[in-house]
Amino acid sequence: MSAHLYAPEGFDVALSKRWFEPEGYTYEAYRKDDGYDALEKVLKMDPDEVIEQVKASNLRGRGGAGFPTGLKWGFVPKESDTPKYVVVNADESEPGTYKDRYTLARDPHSMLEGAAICAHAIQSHDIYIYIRGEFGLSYRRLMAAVKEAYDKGVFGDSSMGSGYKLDCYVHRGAGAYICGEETALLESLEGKIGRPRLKPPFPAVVGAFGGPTVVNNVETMACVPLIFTRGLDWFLGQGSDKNGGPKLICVSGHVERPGVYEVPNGMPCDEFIALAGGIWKGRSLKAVIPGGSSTPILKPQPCQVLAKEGQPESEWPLETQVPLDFDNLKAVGSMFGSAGMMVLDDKTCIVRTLSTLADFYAHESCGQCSPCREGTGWSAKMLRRIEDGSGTEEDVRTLKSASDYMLGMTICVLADALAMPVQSYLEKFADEFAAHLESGKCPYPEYDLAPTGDAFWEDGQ
Amino acid sequence: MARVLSEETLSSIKDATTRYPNNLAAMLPALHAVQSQLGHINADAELDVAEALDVPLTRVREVVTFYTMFYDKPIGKHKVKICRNLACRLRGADRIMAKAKEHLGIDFGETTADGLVTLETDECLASCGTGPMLWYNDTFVENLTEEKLEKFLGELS
Ligand SMILES: Cc1cc2nc3c(=O)[nH]c(=O)nc-3n(C[C@H](O)[C@H](O)[C@H](O)COP(=O)(O)O)c2cc1C
Ligand code: SF4
Ligand code: FES
Repeated sequence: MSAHLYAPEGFDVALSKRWFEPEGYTYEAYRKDDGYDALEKVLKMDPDEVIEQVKASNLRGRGGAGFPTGLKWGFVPKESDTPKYVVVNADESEPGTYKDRYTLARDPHSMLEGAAICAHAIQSHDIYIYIRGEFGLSYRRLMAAVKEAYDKGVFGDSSMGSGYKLDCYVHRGAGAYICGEETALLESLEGKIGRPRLKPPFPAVVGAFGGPTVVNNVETMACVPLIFTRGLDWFLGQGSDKNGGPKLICVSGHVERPGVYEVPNGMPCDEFIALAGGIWKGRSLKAVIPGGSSTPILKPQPCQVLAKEGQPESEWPLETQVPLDFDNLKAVGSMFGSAGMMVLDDKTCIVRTLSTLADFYAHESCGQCSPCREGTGWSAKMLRRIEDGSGTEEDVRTLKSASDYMLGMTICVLADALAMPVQSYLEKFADEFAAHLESGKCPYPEYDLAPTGDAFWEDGQ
Repeated sequence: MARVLSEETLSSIKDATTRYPNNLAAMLPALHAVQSQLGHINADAELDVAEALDVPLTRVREVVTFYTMFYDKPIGKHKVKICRNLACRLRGADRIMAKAKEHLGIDFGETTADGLVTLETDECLASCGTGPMLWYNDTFVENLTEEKLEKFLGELS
């Protein structure tokens, strides 16, 4: 299997490079590709200078919010009475997202090196990797990689022979989507139930075990070494304005060739879908969920935000031609989130789609805020009624008002993660909601059973 | 003396406590160790864990009930969870779910009469590009067709 199938032709693949090698997950394979050179370099640098370089790289967090990574590291106080911590968020569970799982299973050392660099930058001596409890192969490969890294002196009393003490521990979750939210994750790391904390204080000030803590996603960490080995110019060149570096996008649903693709930040969405083989079975595109289940939906309709000034409406680009990066997706009213793209063909039922997501959020709400607990539950119930044809116009109105009541009202953004999609689906596909009410049943067929068949992406390869 | 936990489990709990600044943080690794010994976490095991970590029993209890991977009652020898989330549904997971129920003759949340299989649904398991899929003990079975599912279920023993 050659890498170019899952990247644009001629693209200088870095994040997924070793995924395509039979034993690319080993220390040896990583070291051969300049692995841990960045850490050696960084250990000789002033920590502040490391943070400055990460700021200059325009690296943005890949776990969901796109927060600038260097800025986050810079928030950690220099002096602290309590130990500081680095925590890697490997809890990957946003529906549609499946990229970190491959980094863990096929190139775990890149993420370990990034975390080690982070530790030096904030002057922490302890790394915790919080890995999703259900992961099997990814967990085993990660454990093996951490052991290799200890054996080779990356971790231990003198990291890379520098005299800097650095330890790394793996913490397995136990099944709870909410533990991906960084403060719930910290609670769970501390041995408690995963209930998000009120912020402020932010983790950079009070995080794990009361100490200043950086929490970053697996892919974010895997990007970090590239800034120091390939250099700033290369890193900036792989991205778009204020969105540095290459990006992993995991695409699922109705494309011919689902998979995890490595592309430049800012690649137009329609070109990306074409790269993934286009819409399957020669069908047409109904909608795109660009960045995981919580991101507002895109429709192939003319979009003024993407138009040049003075361009007549008939020539406006389509919303589904938006460049895929954090800022452009935000400008068109959606989000890049965790880059878990789900593509829906013209036979897909929008109400069923939203109903599936509402069931998910209702199931995963931790229950401590009433707008979230009640709002996700009502929404799920109303959507089920609307989908099976027994809903009323009143249900559709209540669905909208419930979403207003959920936005910005809660301790974490899980409530918003359902409310935002609800509003965008209702606005862009009002006709489909109406069609369900009118016909008294769902007008769309059952979905075809059609796995992708590409065993390359299976764990049991 | 521990009520139900083996020496091996107790020593793995002790080992876990060295990885954290306090004992409470070893709760999840402790419960994983208990479950791998007993298959579930019963009331006696909860007491043992509370003692081993020197934390109140309520702490143990609430964690066992909060996380979906922990079971407080005996379940089937094999846990089979089918993903019911969007990406898998778009690829036909509804048919896989129906087939699994039909093949095993039980509903989700139930265990076969011979105690072999507990069937459940699960939320997205980060395998959306290879859906429909199921999770079994700690392995993924991906790109499911009805034939592949029936073969897999038929071979469980
Ligand atoms: C409900 C919820 C679930 C989340 N799940 C994940 C997750 O599974 N993985 C992840 O990296 N970030 C997740 N996040 C984002 C984290 O809270 C946090 O922003 C992120 O780990 C920071 O890392 P980054 O700056 O590198 O993106 C989630 C956020 C919310 C609100
Ligand atoms: S918004 Fe929902 S998930 Fe988040 S803290 Fe409140 S109740 Fe819990
Ligand atoms: S939706 Fe089934 S694994 Fe993600």
